[in-house]
Amino acid sequence: MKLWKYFVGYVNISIEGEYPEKLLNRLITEGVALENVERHERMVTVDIKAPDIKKLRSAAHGCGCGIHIIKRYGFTRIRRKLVLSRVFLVLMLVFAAGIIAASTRVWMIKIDTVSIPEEDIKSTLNELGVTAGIARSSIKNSEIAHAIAADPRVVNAKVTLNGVILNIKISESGGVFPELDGEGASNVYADKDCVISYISVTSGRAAVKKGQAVHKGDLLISGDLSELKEGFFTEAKGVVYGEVLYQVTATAERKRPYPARNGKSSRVVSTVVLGQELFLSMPYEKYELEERGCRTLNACIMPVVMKEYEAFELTEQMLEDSDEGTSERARLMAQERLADMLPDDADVKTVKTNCVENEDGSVTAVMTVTTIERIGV
Amino acid sequence: MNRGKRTEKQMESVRRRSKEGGNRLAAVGMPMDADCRLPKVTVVADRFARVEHHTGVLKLTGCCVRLFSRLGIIRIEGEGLIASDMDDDLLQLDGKVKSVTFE
Repeated sequence: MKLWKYFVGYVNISIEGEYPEKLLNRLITEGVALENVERHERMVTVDIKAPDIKKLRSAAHGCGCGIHIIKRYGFTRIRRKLVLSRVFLVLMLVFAAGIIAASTRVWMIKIDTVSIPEEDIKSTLNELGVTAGIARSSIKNSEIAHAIAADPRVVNAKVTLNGVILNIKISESGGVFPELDGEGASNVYADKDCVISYISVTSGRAAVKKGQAVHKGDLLISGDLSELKEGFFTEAKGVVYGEVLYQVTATAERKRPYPARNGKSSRVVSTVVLGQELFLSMPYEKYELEERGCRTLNACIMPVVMKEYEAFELTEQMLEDSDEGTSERARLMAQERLADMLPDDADVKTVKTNCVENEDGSVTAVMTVTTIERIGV
Repeated sequence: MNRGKRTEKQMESVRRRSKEGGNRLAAVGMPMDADCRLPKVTVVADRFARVEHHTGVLKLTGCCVRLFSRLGIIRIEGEGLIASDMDDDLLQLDGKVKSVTFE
């Protein structure tokens, strides 16, 4: 609050006279807000806002009180003085002109390098006449970049002008194209037999084309860049997708286990109460029921139905399956095997299944799947 | 002298009417301070007093403040009283407040 008061500006005044309360009443009637009203014998000190000073004169007229301004506070007076001052205006104009003039020149040169000393680059720049204070319009980025790249240690130089700052980013031979141990370059090889469907090289050189068939272990992306610049190798990087063919076979026997009656049977009785059927006892674990009779007991409070069944015990026996059933089992077995083989990221393109009946009656399903998947290690 | 008597009569009339007005407000279940003509004095402990709906300052010293209101004169006694905020309707007093009386 005090800060706001200071910003708006306020004045500490003293009111002297026989009856200062009269003036206070006049002031508050005129809408002047008074603060820190304090009595010192015949004098009252008050804080009022700076814009309310104009009202003091008219209010004090005929009151018999003298008003004295003790101190002014806040920015108002200073600000008004400054704005009205011609010197201040001229200074502001000169400052603005100076800023505009300064912004047309380069005042800082930033060199981003790892091992090449900045002094070497600066000496190259000095030869070109590029120093702090040079006009922005006289800078030609391509010329500077070309001059810096003439250094054999420099692979590439990127020059950008950002405001009053000239940025020079230098790519050194050991930085962007690191020489690798071992064979000199790291390559990407195919990890399975496939037909290339997509290849994108981030770093290095493509060794295969789209549509080309490759075997496991073949070179896909080479890191050997000696064709471009002698003795340079890089870490080969890229994305390679290929069409991979999978073939799975599964054989299903003609006979398969079926639950069948073994000849044992017994009578069982169930009770149906409110739609729920309850068996009193069941002698077999697996069974088949045949209804023999049904009786409703009307004497009870609720209707109760007694049902009589013949329960036949079931055991698994090897029975001959139909042609369709055997083929379906063979197909399912092949599908299960294939699911274990396919990688998670494989995108299945085509699926073809061929079922062949063997001499012994069994059926062999041959499932051929084409997938698109990422290859290369 | 005559003017003083008239004022006293007027004051009596105002007091009576205010009392009646307050009773009417109470009769309809409204608080007494809903009548914005009546002065409202708020004292917090003995360090702060706030007078709303005053009509002027009669006397303002460090030990006694007398204010006009529709009910008469409000007298606030204390030590080191300073009107920290003051306008045509509100007066806020800082300092040690000893008593508030309606004269």
